[in-house]
Amino acid sequence: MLFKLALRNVRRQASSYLIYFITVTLTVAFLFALNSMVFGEVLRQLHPAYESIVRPLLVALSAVLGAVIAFVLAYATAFLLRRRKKEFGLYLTMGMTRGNILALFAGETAVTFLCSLAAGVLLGLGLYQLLLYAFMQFIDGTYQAGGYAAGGILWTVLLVALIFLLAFAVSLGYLRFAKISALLAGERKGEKEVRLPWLWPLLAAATLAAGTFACVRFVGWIGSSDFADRVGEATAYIALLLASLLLFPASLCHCGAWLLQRRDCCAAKGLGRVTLRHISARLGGSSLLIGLLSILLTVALVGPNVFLACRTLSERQVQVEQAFDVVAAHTEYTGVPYEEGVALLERYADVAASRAYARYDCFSPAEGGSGHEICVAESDFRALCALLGYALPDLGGLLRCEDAYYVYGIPAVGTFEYKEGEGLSEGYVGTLVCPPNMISVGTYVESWVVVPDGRLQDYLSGWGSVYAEACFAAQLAGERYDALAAQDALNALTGNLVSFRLREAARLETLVDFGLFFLAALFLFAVCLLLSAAMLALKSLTLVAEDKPRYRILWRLGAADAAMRRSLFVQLAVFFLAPLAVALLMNVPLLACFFALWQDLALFSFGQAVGTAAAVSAFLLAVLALYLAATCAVAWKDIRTSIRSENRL
Amino acid sequence: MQEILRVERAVKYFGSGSAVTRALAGVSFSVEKGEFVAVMGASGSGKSTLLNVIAAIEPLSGGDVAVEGVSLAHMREKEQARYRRDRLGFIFQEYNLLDTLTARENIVLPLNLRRAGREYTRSALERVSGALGVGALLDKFPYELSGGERQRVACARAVITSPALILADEPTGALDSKNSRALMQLFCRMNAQLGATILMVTHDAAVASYAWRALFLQDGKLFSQLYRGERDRADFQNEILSTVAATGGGCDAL
Repeated sequence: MLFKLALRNVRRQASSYLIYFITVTLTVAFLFALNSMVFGEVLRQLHPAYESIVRPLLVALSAVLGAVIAFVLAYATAFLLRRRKKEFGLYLTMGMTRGNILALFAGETAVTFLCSLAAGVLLGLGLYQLLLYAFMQFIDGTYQAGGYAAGGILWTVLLVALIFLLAFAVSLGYLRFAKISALLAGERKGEKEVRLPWLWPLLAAATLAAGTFACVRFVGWIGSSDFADRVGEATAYIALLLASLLLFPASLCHCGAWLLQRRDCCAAKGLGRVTLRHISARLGGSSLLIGLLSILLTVALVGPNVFLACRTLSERQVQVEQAFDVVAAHTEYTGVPYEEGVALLERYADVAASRAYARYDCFSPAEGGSGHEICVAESDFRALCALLGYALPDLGGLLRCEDAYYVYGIPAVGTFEYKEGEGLSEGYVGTLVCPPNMISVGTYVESWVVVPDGRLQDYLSGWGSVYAEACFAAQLAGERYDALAAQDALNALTGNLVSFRLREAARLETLVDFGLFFLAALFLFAVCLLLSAAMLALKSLTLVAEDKPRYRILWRLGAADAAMRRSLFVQLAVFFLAPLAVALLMNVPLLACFFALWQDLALFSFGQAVGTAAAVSAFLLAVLALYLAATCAVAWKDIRTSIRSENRL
Repeated sequence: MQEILRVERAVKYFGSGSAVTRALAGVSFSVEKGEFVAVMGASGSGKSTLLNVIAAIEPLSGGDVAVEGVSLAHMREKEQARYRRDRLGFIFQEYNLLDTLTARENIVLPLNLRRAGREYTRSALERVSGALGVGALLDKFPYELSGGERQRVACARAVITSPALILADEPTGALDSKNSRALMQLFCRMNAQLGATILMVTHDAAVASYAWRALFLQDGKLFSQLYRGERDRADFQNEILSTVAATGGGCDAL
């Protein structure tokens, strides 16, 4: 009997359950897609430490997301309860027990939840393939339809069941202890005069100042030379920053609400005053929610800039670590088949030019001193410079070469800087600052000497001991090729005795790392955004349900439909966009903080950072606008029905 | 005197097919400017329907209603909203104050809807709050007011635009007898001092006795009407009770 009633209630309350259904469906789909990736074969094959490190981290991430989703679902079920308080109160007065009502509500939400679960898994099947495709595109890999791992499905079902039980327990707790009179009364919450109006502007100013102070001090701490000794200080700054982030939006909302009401009501036009009061009530009553959502959106806004900066830094690192597209070296292997290597490489990419050369490690005699020098023959070095597009001037003597990384820190890649004569040891004609790691293969080389070919034997004989390394460098015509396969083939050529390093392969390996990071960040972002929008929609519809009698009064007083609709839109727009506005406001000091931190590295310009933030904001705005439009339409339909259904004075 | 309201052979049906209910069956009457008229009748006699069609909340099935010579027939929805806003004032049984607004904001709301200027609104507020004695209540929210105070605020809201006609639907329905008397005295003041024209629906013969004229509806028809004339209120109330008894009861015997 109760089950039949539950099914009928779900059918009749379809509009109430709509937002709940959409939210659960989408979150299940996201979780399913994420877990299919996490437990699938593709990631396992891409990353060597996947099973030991990466997978546990991603599973932990999905568990955290599950906790966030449970919070939102608890909120969604509370929304459903709020809308039907009177109905449940009526059931109690008609003689149903609380147990009956609990069973009825459990049945209704379980039916909806199971429908959402089924729809979410169906959607997740497609979303997983889409995500896999996007991921492979991101790492320049080849997409192949991925299989669905049993582990992923089981973990999703387990997680979703836990989420449902947790969210449901909250609702049951409410229904179990609520008084009949409170249920029958519904929501009778009126506006109240603010008691300490100056408190909120003061708190807003104080939290803004505290947050800025924490940012500035944190940047100062990172920049200081003894930062490692003052970790406790940094912890305090972070704690202060987090507290400010939480309190600032709440105080700003209360402050804004109070300011909105200060205008003389006699000067109001149309429904202006009503709109202001409703906005004030929404902002004031939901300041904590807006604060939490602002933090979520702030993370979503700051995240891409941090991500892009890290990716740029890593790609630059790949460039810095290897000057040539392909390098190889071996100290003992005498029969290095570099010609065969070039022929093999040709199968994967166009080889523009290559050079096999010798690099000499020279050491003073043990009893004579501790000198160490690396040298290269002039002809070899001239060829290496030519590979990098630089024409070495005529020397006629020794040339001191220095790695730009050791001279300038992180320099612009690919630049040479020649300085002739002056202040050098006897026999040297000049110094040349070279692109980073020009002759380094495996171990970093700070400086080396270029010796004219004719004087090489004399020069080497002046050292106590000399070790020659058979090195190789090549430049390719194209940038993108199957570098991972090429690297494997080249290394197999010598049975892994000679290790070939392909810059493109290093880039792809870095991309895989970032791809995993990107995957996790994307999910965090998507879930944050989706849940934020859903919470705003649910909260809005709850508030509109309470506002319906007010709109009826306004209609009777002669307020036009267009004016009421406009007023509703403004209220909802402010409510939806307030968290984004606060997030944008908080993004300013945070962006400045990150920019100050990475200014020396010049990872991005200020314009780029603002541009990225603007693009993300536009995307957030678009998603929120979509939810806003849907909420407006549902809310207005609700209000119109309410007005029409009670067309009496 | 100037005619404010004219109701001519007003007919209203609800439902369709075989389940048609006739709520008004050709009601005709008029109200002059400055009149205070009570409408009485048993439950289902058509009182509320009459008020709804005058307020353009329910469309008429036949006949016509005109306020200040403007017919409601064929009025579009937007025009109906403007008509309610510009020509009518409302006083409801449940006060219908917006709980999110202060008393001051509730009172000036109809002027806000008309987009009246600041100075005009302020002076109208002073005039009305002075006349109806709600000055001390202006900064309070509805939940801080008693039932009688809320109804006084609702009266102030109804008269602030100096509407052509004030429609009151069981205004004392939620009040005790002391507050009901005070409210009726307030209605008389609104009528006498502010020149308000009032059409009030009530079950209560004592409340109706404050009016100049009482209309009696039965089965959707105008059954009778009484004028108070020079009589005192007690006599008028007795006559109302007698008329009600003749219609078969249906009002609160007080």
